[in-house]
Amino acid sequence: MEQNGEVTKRSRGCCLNWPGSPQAYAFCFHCSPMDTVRIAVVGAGLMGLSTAVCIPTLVPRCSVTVIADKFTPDTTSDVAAGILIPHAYPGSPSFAPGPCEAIRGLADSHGIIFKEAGSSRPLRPELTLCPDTPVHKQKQWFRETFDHLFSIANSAEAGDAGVYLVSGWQIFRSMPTEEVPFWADVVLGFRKMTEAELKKFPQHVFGQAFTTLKCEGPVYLPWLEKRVKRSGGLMVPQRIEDLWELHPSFDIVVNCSGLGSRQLAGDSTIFPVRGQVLKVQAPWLKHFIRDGSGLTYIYPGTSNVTLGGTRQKGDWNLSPDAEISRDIFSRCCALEPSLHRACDIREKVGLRPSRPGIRLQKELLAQDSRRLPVVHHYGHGSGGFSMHWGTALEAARLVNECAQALGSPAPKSKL
Amino acid sequence: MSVEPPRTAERGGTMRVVVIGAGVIGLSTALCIHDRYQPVLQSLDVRVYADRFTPLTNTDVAAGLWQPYLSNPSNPQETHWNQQTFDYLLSHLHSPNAADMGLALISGYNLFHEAVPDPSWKDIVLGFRKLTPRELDMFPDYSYGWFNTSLILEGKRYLQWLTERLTERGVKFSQRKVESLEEVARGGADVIINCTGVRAGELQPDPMLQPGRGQIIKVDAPWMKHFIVTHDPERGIYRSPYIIPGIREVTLGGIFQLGNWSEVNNIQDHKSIWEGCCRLEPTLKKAEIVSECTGFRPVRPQVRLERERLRFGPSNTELIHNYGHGGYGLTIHWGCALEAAKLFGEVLEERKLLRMPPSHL
Repeated sequence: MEQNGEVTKRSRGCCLNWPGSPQAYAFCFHCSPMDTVRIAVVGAGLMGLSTAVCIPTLVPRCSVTVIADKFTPDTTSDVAAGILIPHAYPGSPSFAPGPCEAIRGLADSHGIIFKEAGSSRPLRPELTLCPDTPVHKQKQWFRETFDHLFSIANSAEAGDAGVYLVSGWQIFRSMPTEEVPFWADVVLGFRKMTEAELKKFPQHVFGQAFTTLKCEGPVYLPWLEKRVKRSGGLMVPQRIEDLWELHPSFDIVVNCSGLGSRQLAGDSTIFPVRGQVLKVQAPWLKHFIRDGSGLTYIYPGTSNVTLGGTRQKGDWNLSPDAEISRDIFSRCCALEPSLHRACDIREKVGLRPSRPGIRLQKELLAQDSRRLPVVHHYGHGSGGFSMHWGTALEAARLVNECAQALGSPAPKSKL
Repeated sequence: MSVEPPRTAERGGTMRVVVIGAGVIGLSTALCIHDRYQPVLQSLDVRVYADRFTPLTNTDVAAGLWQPYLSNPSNPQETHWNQQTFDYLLSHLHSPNAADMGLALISGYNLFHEAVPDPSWKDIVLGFRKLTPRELDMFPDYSYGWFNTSLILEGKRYLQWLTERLTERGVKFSQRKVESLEEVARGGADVIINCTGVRAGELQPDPMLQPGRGQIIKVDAPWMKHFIVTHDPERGIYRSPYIIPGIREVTLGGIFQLGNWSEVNNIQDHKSIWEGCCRLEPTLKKAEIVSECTGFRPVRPQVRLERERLRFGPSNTELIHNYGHGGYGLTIHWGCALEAAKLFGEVLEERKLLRMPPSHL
C-alpha cells in the first residue's frame, strides 16, 4: 500500500478497515500505527465535540474517539443559553494587565521551581503564574466562532444546528468603564442605545444594542455528534479516572474534561462557578436583555426562554435552589414585566469550568518509558459558546503538531 | 351571539351607539368611546353588530407588524394617528398584560434594491438605522436597508383581548348581517360607527374603496426572531416577500391583488410566497406549514374618518365612518379610534348630552 509515494510498513496489507469508516481501524500487532493517528477526546461537551469535528480537517489520516461519562443532554453545555456575548477573561482591559511573559521568562531562566506548600509536587508555573488570555486571542477566537456560526445561521442547516440570529440590549446601571467592548465590531450593528430605548429600563443609564448569535446546546451538540460520526468518529460512554487508561490504545489524548481536569490533569486552578437558570415559556419575547453585570439576563431560545442567573464560586451543588429560582424570576420580571405571564418554569444548574484563563496547551505525559502526548482544551468558564470554535481550531492545530511529532523518526516533543 | 330585537326610539339622556364591524377598527373604537364617555353620560349603551367575529375577520389574517407605508400619506393626519398608536402600544409594553394583548417588541430588516430616503416614521420606531455591509451580505438580492425595533400586535389575540375588555364593560355583541344603515337607525341607534372595512361599499357605495387581496402562510419557525420585509418599487407595496414572526407562528406573505375578491387560497400565490420567502431566508425550507389564509385589505387613497348625518323618517342619526385602513389598520387603529371618539364627542356636545360627573357638582 503506497502512501505519498512511500512504501510503508502497511504494504503487507494486514490492517483492517472498518467498512464505511476508512479512518477507524482494528489494532493490528504486525503494523506500526504510524499512518493512522489514534486520537482520544475526553469529554463530550461543547469543547470535546467541536474539537472532534475540527481534528479530521487538520490531521491527515486519523481516527477520533470521543470518550465521556456524560453526553448531551446531560452536559454542562446543555444548560448554558449559548448566547454569543463574550465575558471578560483576565488579560482583557477589564482586568488589570499582568506582566505575564516577563515573569515566565524570569522563572525559566533562573531555574525557579514553585512548589505547593506542604507538597513535593512542583506547581506548574504555566498554570498559576501567567494564565491570562490576551485580549487579541479572545477577539480572534470570538471572531472565528462568530463567523463560523454566522454562516451556519444563514444556511438551510440553521434549524438542525440550533444556530440563529438574535438582537437585543446589554444595559448598565452605571456607566461602564468600557463603552465599546473589544468584540463590538464582531457582532452585527453594534451601537449605543437611544434615550427612547433606555426608557424601557428606568433603572439603567446606559446600554448597547446589537445583533448576535444564539447556539442552543441541546440542538447544537447532537448536530456536532452527527458530524463527528459522519467523518468516522466514535462515541464511547465511559468514565475515565486517569489519562493513562488511554495508553497505549491511543496515540494522542485531547483533554476536554472541563472541571474533570482537576482530577485528570491535576489542575487545582480550575473551579466551578455555579449557575442556576430557569427555562420558561414566553414565546412573545424576541430580544435578549443582559444586565451589564452579567448576573441577570433573559435569552429567548427556539423552544424556551432562559432566565438567569447566578455566579457562585466554588459551589459544586447541582440541585436547584428554590429561593434562588424565586430571586432569578423576580430580577428578570423587573427588567421585563411581561415575564409575569411566563409558564412551564423549569430549573437547571450548570457548573461553569472556570479558570484564570483558558488552557490550550500541549503536554507530554511521561511515566517510566511510557509517553502520552496530551492536548489540553478546557477552562472556558462562562465564555464557552463564545469562544468554542476558535479554541477548537487551535486545539486541533496542537493535535496536528503532536501527530507530526509522532511521525518523525526521532520523536522529540517540545512543550 | 343572540340577535337583539329592534328597540323603540327613546330619549332622556341615553345614548345608543351601534358599532358595525368587529375587526380591530370596530372593537377599538367601541372601547375608546366607551372609556371616554361612559363616565360623563347619564347612560351609554354600546353594541357591536357584525356578521364575522374573530377568528374570521380580516384583522385575524394580518401579520400584525406596526409599520406604515414608506411614502407619506396623502392625509397628514394619518402620520399623527400612526404615532399615537405606536405610543399607546409602547405604553402597554411594560405591563404584565402585554402578552395577553398579543403585543411584543420586535426588531428586523427592511430591504431594498437601491438606496431610498428614510421613512417619515423613522423617529417613531426605536433605534432606526441603516444596515451595515455585513448585514446586507445576508441578503444577496438586496443592496440597501434599514434596521429598527417596532411592535407586533397579533390580530387574533388583540381582538380576543378587546372582546374581553368590552364584555367586562357590558358592551353587547350581536352576530347579524346588517343589510342597511337604515335598518340600524330605525332599530334605535342614535349614533352608528361604520367600521365595516373592505365591505363598507355594501352599506354605502364608495368607488374609492377596493379590496387589496392578500394571502399568507403561517409556519412554525420559532428560531426566527426578526421581521424581514422586502420592497420592490416596480411591483408595489406588499407584492414583495415578507416574513413576520408573531408570538408563536411566523407569517409569510407577499401578495397584493387590487380588485380580487376571491376568498379561496390560490396555488400560484402559495408558490410565489413560499419561493420568495425561502429564497430570502433559506432556513425556512425546514419550517412546517401550520395554516394558510386569505384576507382583503380595505384599500382607499386615505382613511375615511368623518361624520355624516342620516335622516330616516322624523329622526336624525349620526354616522361616523371609520374604514379604509388598507394594509396598515393595526398600525393606525388607536389614533383613528381616538379621532372617532372626538367626533362622537362633537355629537354629544351638539345634543347637549355631556354632563359633569357627580363629584364635580
